[in-house]
Amino acid sequence: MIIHLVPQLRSDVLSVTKSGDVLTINGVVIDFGAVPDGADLPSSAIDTEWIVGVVRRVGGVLHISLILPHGPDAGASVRFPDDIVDPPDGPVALPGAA
Amino acid sequence: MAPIDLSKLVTAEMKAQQTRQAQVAAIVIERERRLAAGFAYNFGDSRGAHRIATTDQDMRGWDEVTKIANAMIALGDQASTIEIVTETGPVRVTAMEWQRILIAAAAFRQPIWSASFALQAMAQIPADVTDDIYWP
Repeated sequence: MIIHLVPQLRSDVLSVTKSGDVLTINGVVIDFGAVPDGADLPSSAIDTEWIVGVVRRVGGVLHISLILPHGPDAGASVRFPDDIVDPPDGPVALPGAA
Repeated sequence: MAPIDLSKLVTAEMKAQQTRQAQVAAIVIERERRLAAGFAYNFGDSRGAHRIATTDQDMRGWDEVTKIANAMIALGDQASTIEIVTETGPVRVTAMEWQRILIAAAAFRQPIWSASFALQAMAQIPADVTDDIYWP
């Protein structure tokens, strides 16, 4: 899995946990296991505000773009975050998280 | 669990089908462009060689001339002439001369149609269907 982060100035908080193809985003469980290889799933098909763009599985790897909320004083690692590549199961370490 | 609307899923097969449809459309556009390019026809006399236009609009004019020529042939009139305007200029042709122009047009146009059908039938349509190597 590769998580692309889309920084956005906003006051709420994001927490993400991964388990295989399942992400739990702020307590909401989303199972991407039904996305086959080579397929695209638009964010409009997913009942969450945190996923943007298209969820895509390429070469067996899920690509998911998540909004990364941050405050006005966020550092560069938050405003220009790197992708999170192949995160292990468990809580996903987001840049800027305490 | 957040619901996922799988009816919005675009599978690899659907994307491949969309790509193929776009490629076939590109072949048709290229075929029309080549069909419209026109061809040279030499009358073999003082009228010389003319560039004959074959755009869609020109082909409507061709239909008109063909109807007139067919009527003249049906009436046995092989002497009267019809004035046509080529890209080279105006010229008068008999009904039978017009038939020879139609045959020359077929020799120009039919290979283009055949090439387009061959391209559309390819299992893997080339990325650049405008490449001259695929056309006569």
